[in-house]
Order: sequence, then structure tokens, then C-alpha cells
Amino acid sequence: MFRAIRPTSTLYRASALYKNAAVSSPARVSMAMNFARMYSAGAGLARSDVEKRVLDILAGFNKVDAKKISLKANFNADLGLDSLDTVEVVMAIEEEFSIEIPDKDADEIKSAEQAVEYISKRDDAH
Amino acid sequence: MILGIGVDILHLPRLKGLLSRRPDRFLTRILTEVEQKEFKVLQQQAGGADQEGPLRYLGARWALKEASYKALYPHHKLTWQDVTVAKQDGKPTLVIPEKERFGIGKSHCSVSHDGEYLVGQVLFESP
Repeated sequence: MFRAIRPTSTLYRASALYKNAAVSSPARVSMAMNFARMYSAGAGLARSDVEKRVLDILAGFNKVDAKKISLKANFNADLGLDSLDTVEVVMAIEEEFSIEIPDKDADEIKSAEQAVEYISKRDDAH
Repeated sequence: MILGIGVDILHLPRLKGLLSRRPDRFLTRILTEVEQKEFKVLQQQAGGADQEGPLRYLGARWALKEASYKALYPHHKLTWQDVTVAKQDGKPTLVIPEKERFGIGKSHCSVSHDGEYLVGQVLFESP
């Protein structure tokens, strides 16, 4: 399944890699994104990059108030996400970092910070 | 003795939306293998996963597994794959292969529908 493209993060990464290239077509954008991911996988994931990607996932949820998004914000208490939303967040993280998160681990991810911690322990995340 | 009770309410259109966004992983996360097979059959019969039959099947399992989690918390944290919802004489029953390990004796459950809403209730007895 093809991952959902979030325009902001995609453009950000694409422009960082192709400073002179005019980002005009979706094909070019997704290609740039793939290069970014291959580069990250080889070099290991920078924590700041993981943090940004996790926060971008949260920003992609309509019901989340962008002003409340932070690393420490609890999905349920602070962001107003219920169990169905949280399962969707975990699935989005799985797709973003190309990993499968077992139920037991997924149950312990209740904030962006906990997600970042978990991803940093997964060598196969990229 | 009663070990715990749990209840969960679900608005089916939300399930439909999530299923359309995550058609594969959502099913493998929530449903056990035997349930996934049953779901596929229902999906084929109904002509799509977003039809009422498969949606209600999935919704009942979502709600009963959530209710099971609540009923056993904080003694243990049940996961989606720990519980299979089966039907016996038209009534839902919970199949929990490792129930001894979780300290569960008999279990009781019930589901109710009204329009777009569905509610699941679970009661666990100690052994």
C-alpha cells in the first residue's frame, strides 16, 4: 500500500535535498522522499528527524489541535485521541518507519516521546 | 467472584473510515486469524468490507475486545490477539486460550446495536 503523502513534510524533505530543483510534480516529490529515506536508513536515524516525522503524523489528524501537539502531549488526555484514534496513530507510525509494532509494545505508546523512544530502539526502523 | 466488567461503545462510521484508510493492517491488528478468515467470507458475500455485515462483524469484535481489556485491567493487559469472539447459538462468546494465565474463569459478553452505534459488554469471573 502506498503511504499517504503529507505535503508539508514531503516538501520540506524534498527541498532540503534538492535546493535548486523546482518541486513541481508529485512524482518528483515522492522520488525525492524515497531518496531521503534510503539515505536515512544507511546513516541511522537522527533523533530530530524521528521526532519531526512522529509530530507530523499527529498533525495529519484532523481532530488534533495543532497548538497542543508536543513530544510530551499524551494522546488521550492532551490530544483528545481515543482508542480507535490511537490504533490509527500506531498504524501510521508503522507505515512511516516501515516496521511492525507488536500489540504489547503498541499499548505502551501513549505520547510522541514514547513513540520516538520506541523507534530509536528499533534497528529496522527507517 | 466477579473479577471485572468492561463496556465499549463504537460509532460505526468511524470504523468504516479507518478501514478504508487502513484496509489490511487494521484487520490483522484487531482480528485473530480465525476471525480474519470469517471476515473475508462475509466481505465476499456482502461485496465489500465497507458493507453492513462485515462492518458489524468487525465492530462487535472491536467493542468486545476493548471491553475485555477494560474488564481485566489492571490485573493484566489483554491484547487484540488474546481474545477471539465466537458465536454459540447466536450469542457471542469469548475464546481466550490463555485465560488461566490471565486469571480468568468464566466470561460473559453481550452486544447491542442501534443505528450507527454499537455497544459491547464483558464480565469476567475469577476461576
